[in-house]
Amino acid sequence: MGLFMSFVLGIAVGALILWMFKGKIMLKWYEWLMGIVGFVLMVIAVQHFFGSMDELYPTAGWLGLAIFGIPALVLLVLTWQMAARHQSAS
Amino acid sequence: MSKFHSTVSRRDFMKGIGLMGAGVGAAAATTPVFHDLDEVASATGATWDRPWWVSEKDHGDPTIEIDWTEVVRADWTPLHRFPYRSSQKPTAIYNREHYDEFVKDRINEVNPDWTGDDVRDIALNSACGAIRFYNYYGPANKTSFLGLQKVDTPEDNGLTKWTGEPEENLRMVRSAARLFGAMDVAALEIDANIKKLFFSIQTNGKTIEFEEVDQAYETDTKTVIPNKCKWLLVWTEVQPTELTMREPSEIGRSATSMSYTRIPQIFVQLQEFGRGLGYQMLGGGTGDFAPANPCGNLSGMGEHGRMCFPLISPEFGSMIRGMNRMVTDLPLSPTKPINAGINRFCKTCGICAEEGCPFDALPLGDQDWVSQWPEEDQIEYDAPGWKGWRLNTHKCTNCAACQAACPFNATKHAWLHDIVLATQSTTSLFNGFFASMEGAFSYGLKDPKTWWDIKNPPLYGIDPNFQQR
Repeated sequence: MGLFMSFVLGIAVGALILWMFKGKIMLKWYEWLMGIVGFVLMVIAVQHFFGSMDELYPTAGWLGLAIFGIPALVLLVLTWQMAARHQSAS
Repeated sequence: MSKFHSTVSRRDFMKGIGLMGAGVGAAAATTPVFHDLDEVASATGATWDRPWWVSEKDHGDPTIEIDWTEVVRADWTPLHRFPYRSSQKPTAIYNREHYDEFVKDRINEVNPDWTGDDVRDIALNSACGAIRFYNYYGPANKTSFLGLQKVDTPEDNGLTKWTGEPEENLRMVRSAARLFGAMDVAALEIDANIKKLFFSIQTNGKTIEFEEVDQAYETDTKTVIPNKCKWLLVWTEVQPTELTMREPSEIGRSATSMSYTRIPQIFVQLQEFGRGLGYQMLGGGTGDFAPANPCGNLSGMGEHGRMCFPLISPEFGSMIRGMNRMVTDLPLSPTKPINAGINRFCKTCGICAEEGCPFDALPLGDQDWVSQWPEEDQIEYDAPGWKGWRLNTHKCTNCAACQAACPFNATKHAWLHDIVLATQSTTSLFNGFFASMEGAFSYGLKDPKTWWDIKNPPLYGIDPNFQQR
């Protein structure tokens, strides 16, 4: 299951990057950094949630989802918004 | 009619499928297929893979300090196996009289409505324990020391005794032990220091002697180990994981009962396997030969921790039960003690002593060369020559609540545990933070009532992550 999800994530990220290049959407180096960190945090948040549920520790799952997921969401939204702004400016 | 535009051309799509097929074919071609036991023993699956953050130390030098000049062989006879049951110390009497109340207080921390185990909880523990410590030897008029002696030796079958290199032998024994139900094996060479761990007199009143003889034997007064039996095989078994996390309730203690049901069976099968190979495999009881914790510690099964009795394993936490010992003349490759940061983490953590133990039986202070318990609570026997934590055996009711409290018990479905384990092994900087997060994330003891709600109980109650290496 983990391998399958990794494939799906890899394909989704690859497709997103291909779409960005096709649409000539260029990110600044710090936007790349924020996006990567946000993505990694999101993966950790989701993995921690489902892993904790498998461990039968629901409180740990929800807490981890919040602790990692909220910063992930903030970083990803910031990246998107910053990229959208300088894309529309150009 | 809609027109679907794809970013992938037909050519690239077919190329991708072809590459995928080639990859699957290559994987299938390289999958190992075993043809005989030699191939099994030398397969990587039969070797002992440790996480990268577990490092080895030198033989005889675990993460606790040992002064081998002070270590002496202990006379077990004046000691009680379970001192708290008969101790007349005021704290022991008080713990016995208020046992149910203390257990209830502990469980109420996770379930305020818990009033006690119900009939099915008690029935489960009783069933798990119905054949615990089963004496396979008695009905056959044999002893655990020499074994059942049931299987044919190689000579009986006109075969040559097995010979192999020590490392190969250990891998082979590991494969067999895992099949029988043991979680892992390790080995020690019985040198002058390790001999000091052997009891001078056992609970049955017999001395343990080492003699220059070919075959082990026992009399009414002594148990004789041939000098050629130079290796101590150490093996352990994992308790049912979800039940362990519900100790000290009675249903939680089914975990211990299940382990003690399987351990005698594994003992017999390992002994008979050794006999079938043409070797002596001596000792079939959980209390045989030497204290469990040092043997496991010195052979790399785990590290000594604050909860004293259970060794703590980097892979299985404190969920292991039985650090069982068997003496053999099958050459085995000795395994080294490890450093996984566990003993160091225990210095900061203290959860088992401060929160886990309902009976205040675990030491709160630092490790020491001697028992730190006050005179009125002093323990029965303070083994000399090692710096560590001493359990108060008068207060300890063997409820195993400490096992449920240990932060190293994570079954590692969430990656975060691997990150924390690797970090604490590398640096102690965050140990205090990690220990406090244990409570913040509500890890540790689970509500006993919820065990019956588990949707897909694993085989033997052992989490699938703990069944793999």
